[in-house]
Amino acid sequence: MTRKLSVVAALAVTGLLLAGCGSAQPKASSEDPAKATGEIRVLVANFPLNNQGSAAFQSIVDIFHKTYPKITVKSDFVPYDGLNQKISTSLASGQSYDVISAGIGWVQPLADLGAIQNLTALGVTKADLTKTVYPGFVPPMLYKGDVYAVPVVANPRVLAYSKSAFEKAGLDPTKPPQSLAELRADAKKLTITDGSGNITQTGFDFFAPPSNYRQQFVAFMGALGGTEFTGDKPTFNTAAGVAALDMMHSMITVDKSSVYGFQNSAKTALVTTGAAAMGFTGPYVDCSTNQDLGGIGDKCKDLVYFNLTDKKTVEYVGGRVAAIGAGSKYTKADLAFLDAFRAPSSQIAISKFDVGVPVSKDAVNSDFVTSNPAGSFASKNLEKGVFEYGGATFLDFRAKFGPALDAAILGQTSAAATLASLEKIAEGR
Amino acid sequence: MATLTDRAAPAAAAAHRRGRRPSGVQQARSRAGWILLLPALVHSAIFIAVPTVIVVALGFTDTRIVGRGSWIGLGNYVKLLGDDTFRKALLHTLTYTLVVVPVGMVVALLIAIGLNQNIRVRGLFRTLFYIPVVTATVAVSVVWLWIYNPSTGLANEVLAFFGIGRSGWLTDPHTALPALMVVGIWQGLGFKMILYLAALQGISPDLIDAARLDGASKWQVFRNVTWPGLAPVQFFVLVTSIAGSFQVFDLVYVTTGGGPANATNVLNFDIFTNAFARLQIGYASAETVIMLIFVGVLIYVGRLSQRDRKEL
Amino acid sequence: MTSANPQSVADVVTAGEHLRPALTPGQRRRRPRIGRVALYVVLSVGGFLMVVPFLWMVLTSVKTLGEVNTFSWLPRGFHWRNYVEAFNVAPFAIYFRNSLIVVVGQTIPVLALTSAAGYALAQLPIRAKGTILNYFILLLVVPFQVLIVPLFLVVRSVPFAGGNDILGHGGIGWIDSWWALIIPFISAPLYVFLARQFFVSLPTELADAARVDGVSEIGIFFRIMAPLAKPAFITIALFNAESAWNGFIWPLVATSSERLRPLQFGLAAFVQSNSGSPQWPFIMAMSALATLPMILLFVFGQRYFIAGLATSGIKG
Repeated sequence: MTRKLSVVAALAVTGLLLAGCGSAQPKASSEDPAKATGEIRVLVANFPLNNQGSAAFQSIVDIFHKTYPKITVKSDFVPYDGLNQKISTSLASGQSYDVISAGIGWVQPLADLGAIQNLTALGVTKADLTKTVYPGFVPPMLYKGDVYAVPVVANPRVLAYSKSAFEKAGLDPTKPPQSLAELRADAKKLTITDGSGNITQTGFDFFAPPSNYRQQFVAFMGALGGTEFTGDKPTFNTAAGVAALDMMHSMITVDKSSVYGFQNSAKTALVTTGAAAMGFTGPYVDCSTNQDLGGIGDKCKDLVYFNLTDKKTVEYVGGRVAAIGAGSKYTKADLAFLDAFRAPSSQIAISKFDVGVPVSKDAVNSDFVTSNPAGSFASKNLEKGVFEYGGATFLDFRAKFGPALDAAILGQTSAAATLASLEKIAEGR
Repeated sequence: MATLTDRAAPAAAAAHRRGRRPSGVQQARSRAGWILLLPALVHSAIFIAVPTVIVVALGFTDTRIVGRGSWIGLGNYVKLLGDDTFRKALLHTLTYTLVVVPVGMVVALLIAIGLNQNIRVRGLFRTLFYIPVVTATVAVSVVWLWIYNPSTGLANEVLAFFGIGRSGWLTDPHTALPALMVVGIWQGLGFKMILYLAALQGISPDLIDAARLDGASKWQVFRNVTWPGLAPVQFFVLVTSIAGSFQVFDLVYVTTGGGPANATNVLNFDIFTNAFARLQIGYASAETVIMLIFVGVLIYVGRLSQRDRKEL
Repeated sequence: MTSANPQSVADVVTAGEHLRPALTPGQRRRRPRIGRVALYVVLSVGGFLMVVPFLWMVLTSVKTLGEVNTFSWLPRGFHWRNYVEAFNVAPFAIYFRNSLIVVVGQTIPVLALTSAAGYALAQLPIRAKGTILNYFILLLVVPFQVLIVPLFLVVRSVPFAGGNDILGHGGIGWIDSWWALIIPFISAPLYVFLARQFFVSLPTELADAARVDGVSEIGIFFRIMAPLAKPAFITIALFNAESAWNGFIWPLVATSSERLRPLQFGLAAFVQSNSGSPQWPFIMAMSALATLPMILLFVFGQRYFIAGLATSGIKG
């Protein structure tokens, strides 16, 4: 492998280190899966590092072992935050993982960096994907037209409102807001403050800590018909994008129908605890009555789920993906592992831990999904999904995106100026 | 007769100056010195110096994944000059350092003076003041996040108790960095206090008594006897405090993630974001070099302020 | 009244302690009680402020999951069960053990390497010692986050380890082994600096006397200087234990096996749950348990600790 990095003579030692060789991989597996031996390393970011997570992962390994019984699986659990460090160090040392799990949005940058393999070249086509998942999930898996990752689990965010709060404010509890303007007006009516101006009931909870309003922005913009990226071209700097960001600024800083960046101590959605009349929430609500374990009991019946509607009805969806690491010699086995990852039972197991819902159409009617009101609503609306992903510059962009949105939301800069400067970053300028 | 402030072998130094070859004893001592020094020296060279050199080298490249990058000379540095986020991060770090280090040192000194009095349960107080230092920063950050919670946190409850209105604390760009400074000072107190305490106890009571008998006031005693006696530990505390302030990371990572709107983005956190969130290791390395230069300058300036340079 | 010829600086400090209060003749009888009371009050308030977060952590660790949605001081009931349940959620016993192994494995080498280097820089006539000291100070300034990837490369390229050849290629070096967790930390510039400050303040007569008696330089270090350095040893050991105990990012990148993972990883087990929110009572319980050994270490080592720090910085 040639190295383009040139080093001064005095740094020859470091040069030796930098010219890292690939790891000594055992011989590639033989043709027959049942007889193939070897070891694949899987980087797991979807599962928490606890006993339950390990057990769930083990069930995926068991499915894999039905096809490749003799290949051992070595798992490496990382918290989601540590994913990039792991990928960086593994790539730097040539010790790439065989299977990498990551999030939607990572696919294009990783593919561009040569960190993951082209799955279409290995036989996975777009058509294959659309057989099992909603069409909306396919574009985020593509780079330069080829499939580079497969979706494993969807992490949607839905909205909910409290019927009783609506009634108290004089709003019709059977009709969710039909436009962003209506959303804003309703939020204003639903905000209750005490004597000194402190909010006691949030009108509309964005369910976002500071610098993390990105996903909410994508949802708002989607409702106005805009998309974040089209292919790898940024398309958020449009009238829809500016209007969406302006709307968020108006709701948060002008109307003050929510406190910027506020999360309760347990980081749960305010609308589920009754602290907000309306707001974003995740696809899982604990309807049990055991308060000690975090159940919200009767509140469940008070909540009505809905999606943002204006020109379009959209549902923000994040997601987990799985890809094959560059340099993996066990590509056939890896593909089998990806299949195991995506088996309906695996998806359900992962969804339980990962605040998600299965991404495949078959799992929509599974017990896990139908038993939870938030989950079943989210699942039914997956085809309306809008995603947060872009091109090769996405990771760069994402790191700057959050703080830049803050500036616009807090009124430090205008929405138009913010999106214009972000566009420059997304274009790599 | 060697005193406590004596350095090793002034005779040898004198001999050196006169141009004579060091004696056999000196050579033996020097050799022994090297033998004792070598393990730590070699270890630090391999595990810290070499990685640091790699970082410096990476700063001249556009590397995103180590091993696949090209030389771009000063390209990163040019870009950094025009990078608003970096400039702000540098400013925040300097502000943070210039507040936390002096305030921390003064408060710690005052506490140490207080704990130097003959009071009971002195050991208990010392332990209390030291506990924040040994508590994992992550745990400390999490607890302070709760304290600063605008809706249900202790800080706002305290403000309300005194009749002052609520603050956004960590969610308000204007108060976020000052709020973190408080945590920084709070956490660093114990370490500095212990050092000062020990230094105070090492100052000869004779000198103080003598000064008092000469009619010096408390302030004059402090200024002319105590303060000079603290000079050597001041330097140690200064160096480690400045370095520590520039290295702030865990605190920001857990509490604000650099926000809101980059209001608490400090250098080390910006470097980390560039290296791992954006996967721009070359750029982050150049940023690190600039950081090291700034810290080096600050420490050098701090050293100049020590009129008594015998401590080094 | 003073100790004319202390045998060690530790003696100076402890002597100082016993000879205080420094009341001058004029003030002996008229020490105002108010001042003393005020001092106690200030120190108590200050001390309390210092431990508020820690108290908070312990109180929250016995609350239920439902309780932590809203702020409260006291828990409604004392759910000590949390501690037991937390242990069931992840293999904490193993994590504790791992952290213990790392701390213990580092301690002796750290003390040996840094005290030797510190002594050499302090008392032996090495030509470049000023430069070398500056070198160590410069190194202690470098933040660890930036060193992660290069250090990973270094550890991975250890010759003859983990399948590597003589040039350090081809295998995984020390990655995913105990060596990776221990060896890079058996010496640190900060501790060398600390040790050096301590040794500089030690009197040289003992060494001179021993030299006259024919003891070798190395012998002088081991038999005479090192025993005097107990306070510095305790100090360095405490600092090292604390950073080894709390290490997270290095174990994250340098290991993949569960059997090597340290305590801080355990906390990550609670960060995610069904609703996406962290399980705070469990996190607090484990954090409290993690802090306890460090506090106990300090309490026991306190006497030496202050004496040790005293000598590391006070005198030139």
